Amino acid sequence: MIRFEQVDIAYDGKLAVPNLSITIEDGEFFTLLGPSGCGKSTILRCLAGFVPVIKGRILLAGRDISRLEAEKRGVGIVFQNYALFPHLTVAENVAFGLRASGTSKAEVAGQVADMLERTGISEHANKRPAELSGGQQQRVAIARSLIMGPRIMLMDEPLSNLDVKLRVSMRNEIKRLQRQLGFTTIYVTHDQEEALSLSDRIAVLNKGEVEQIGTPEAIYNRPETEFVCHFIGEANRLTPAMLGEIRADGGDGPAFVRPEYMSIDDGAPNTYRITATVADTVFLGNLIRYRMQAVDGHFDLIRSGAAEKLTVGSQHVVCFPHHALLRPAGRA
Amino acid sequence: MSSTLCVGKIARLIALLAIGWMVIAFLFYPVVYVLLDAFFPNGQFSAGAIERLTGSPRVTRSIWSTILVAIVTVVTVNVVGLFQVAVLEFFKVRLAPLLLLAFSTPLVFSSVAAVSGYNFVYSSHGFLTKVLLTIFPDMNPNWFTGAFAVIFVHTFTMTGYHILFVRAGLRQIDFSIVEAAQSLGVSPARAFLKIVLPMLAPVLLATSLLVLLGALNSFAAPSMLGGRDFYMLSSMIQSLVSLGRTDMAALLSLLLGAISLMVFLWMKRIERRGRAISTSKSQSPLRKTEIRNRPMNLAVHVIAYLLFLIYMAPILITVAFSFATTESIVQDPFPTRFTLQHYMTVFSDPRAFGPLGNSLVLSCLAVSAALAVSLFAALRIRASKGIVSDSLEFSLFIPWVLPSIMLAVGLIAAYGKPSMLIFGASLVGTYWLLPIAYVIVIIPMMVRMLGAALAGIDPNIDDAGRSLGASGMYRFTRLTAPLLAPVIALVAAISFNELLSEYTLSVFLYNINNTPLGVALQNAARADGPDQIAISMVYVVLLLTFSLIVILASSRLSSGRAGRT
Ligand SMILES: Nc1ncnc2c1ncn2[C@@H]1O[C@H](COP(=O)(O)OP(=O)(O)O)[C@@H](O)[C@H]1O
Ligand SMILES: [Mg+2]
Repeated sequence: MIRFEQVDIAYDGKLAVPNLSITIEDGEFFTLLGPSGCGKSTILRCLAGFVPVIKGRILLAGRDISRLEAEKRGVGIVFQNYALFPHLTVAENVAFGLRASGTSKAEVAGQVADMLERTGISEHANKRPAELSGGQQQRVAIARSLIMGPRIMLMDEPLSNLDVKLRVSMRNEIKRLQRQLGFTTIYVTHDQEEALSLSDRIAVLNKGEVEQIGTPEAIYNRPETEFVCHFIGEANRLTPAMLGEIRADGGDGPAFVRPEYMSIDDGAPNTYRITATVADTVFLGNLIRYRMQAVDGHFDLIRSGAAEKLTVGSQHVVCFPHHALLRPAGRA
Repeated sequence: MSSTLCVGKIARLIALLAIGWMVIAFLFYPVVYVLLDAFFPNGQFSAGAIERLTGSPRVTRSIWSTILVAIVTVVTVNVVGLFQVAVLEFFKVRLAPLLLLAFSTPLVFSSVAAVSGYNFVYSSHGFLTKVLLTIFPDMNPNWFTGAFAVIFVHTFTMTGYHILFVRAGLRQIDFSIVEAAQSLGVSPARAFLKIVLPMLAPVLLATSLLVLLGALNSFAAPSMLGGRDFYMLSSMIQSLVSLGRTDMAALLSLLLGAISLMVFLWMKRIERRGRAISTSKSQSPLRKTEIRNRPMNLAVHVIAYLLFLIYMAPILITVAFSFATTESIVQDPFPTRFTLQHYMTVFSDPRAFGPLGNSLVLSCLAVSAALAVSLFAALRIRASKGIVSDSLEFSLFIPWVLPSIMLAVGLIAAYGKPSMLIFGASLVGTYWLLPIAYVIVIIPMMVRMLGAALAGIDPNIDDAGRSLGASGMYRFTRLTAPLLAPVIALVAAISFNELLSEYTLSVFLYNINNTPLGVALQNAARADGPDQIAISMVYVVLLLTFSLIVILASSRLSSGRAGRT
């Protein structure tokens, strides 16, 4: 179990992450998600021991590691740029940690071969990093860390340097290794799709502070703050006139509806209704996005490309189920 | 119109012929003459010089000494240089900016000026010896001499390449590589040894070869500090020349030339192989790490400050004592009584001003002539490719590889008697031998820098001028020259600075009418008179000041140019 207890992290006296408290369970795939510059890397690097804790403490299996040197934490890390040792071959890169800790050459050789096999880079064992593709370098970086048998793996946007196709297959690869070997993973990304598809739990961060922690479903379906609501998926903010029209009860905070929950009224029960005019359409292939103009604002409606098309200027009653109305409480 | 065109063509042809003559007479012929002198002393092949050389234990010893000193120098310079780079860029060491200042001094303090400076600290009448003598009255005041002294001075005057190149290489390393090593259980200090150093291997090798080249050809240090019994190739060649054995000197300088050429070619090969070491796309900048082991941290600090003292002492002592009264120079370990007398003497007493004046005049002459040749050559090389340009480029770069000593010995051997090539004149013993040699050795640097600057000028500018009907000369004076002016000024200043403190050619080729600063400093190092010492301290301070101005101006200029593009 990893516990951040009211941790402050600062660079040269400037607070980057204030008062962070998170608990991560063993074996969990935990993701830090947030826009660029929100402090994700900072938190990860603090846990790895590269950035000092100013205040509070970090507990690893009950032990305070806040002041422990990075090289003694036993935490594996995969860097965004992989940070492979450019002058060593793939096998030497993977063997580096074990050799440095004094494991015998013969023993290391066996373990390296096994790890290269597991990560699917055996055939490149004698190449240097510069001769490998991005995806292969990525595997080397993972193998190099995994061979040390860490209980915790940290990954800082490990897929961001790969092209889209490779990103999806590496995503599955990482998940497979994590299931197989059972290490706790803390994963940093600014890509919500990546976060939603990989994680057991997600912490959404904004400007150094945690907005919400929860399962992907909870984050998506029950966003607790306006920021989360906007940052994950899309959300239409309901205007006062729309709210008046639906006569929903429950507070007077902001209310949102995701566009894919909206549909043309077919008389279904337990729905809210808003009347609006089609202002514009955007063809997206499998989907069509309609920009709807209501009395005092507009919202988006997404319909399947197979459904009947709505013409610009036509008026419709749009409805959505009661449970689709999101009312994030805002930050306490 | 057509007649001016014709005149221009003829003028260019004459200039080209003049350069061709210069290259043949003062570069090829002397080098060929060295070969002839070594193997065909009387028009017939003779291995006599070889036999005499191998038969002389002093000569063979000097060969081995040179090799040994060069190798030891490479090792010590690397140890000291790497330590400096590490405390400047990798480890947290207090007062690092001061260390940087001290460790950068070899960039402005080298050759004869530096050797003189070290002499002012360690020689029999030097500062440290004076202090030590008060503690150990029985010690040998001439302790700073021989191989040890030469290696010592080499070590602390040749780390400049580390500060320039190795430091730059280290700064380019992606720090996340160190962090990756840490996450694998390796401390930053060990990561420095196991990861960072191997990554620096290419630049370290290149730097080591530069140091090797410098040490092999080192002349000021062995000739001024070698003492009676210690000779390197350079000082042995000088000794042979002064004994009139130019055939043996020629052979030895040939050996030195061959070794230097091999090192040079090796270096070029490494350069060509390039160094694509980093695969990282985004780099995190190097961060300094604290040395956590207390005793280790203390030791590193102590050594760093000790090095600071070693580097600063010659400069501080020289500057301080250049303002001290003659009595103070003789009696005090630290100057107590101050005066501007020595500076006034240097600028008013003709005897004291002599070497400085000579060096100023010689350097001015040489820089002007070399600049004219280099400008013409650089423009010609850029204007048209072809056999003429290629051979011009090749010829003018030769002195870059050729040891100065070999050129000097060649000139002495070739022009000791009247020669047809220079219209029946002989040069040895005349004023002109030295400035001619100066011209030859500074041309490669000038052609290179001017060529680079010309390559940076948009060719469309010249074409635009042409389309407006401007003639070649007009385009040059109105378009190219103004754009080139800052570089010309810089090149002139750098060359001038180099020639002011030039040592090797000076010692071989000077005569009484043009004794330059380098020779005067050498003589002062052997003399004991306090006045002589004071004067040479002033010389060193002036050289140092000028170097400093030039290097600051050049870094201002290059950063200014970088800013504009
Ligand atoms: N080495 C550093 N020195 C000073 N400030 C930094 C440093 N690294 C990051 N920061 C600052 O800390 C904040 C968080 O950065 P980071 O953790 O890298 O964000 P993320 O990884 O979420 O994009 C940013 O405002 C950034 O400018
Ligand atoms: Mg980041």
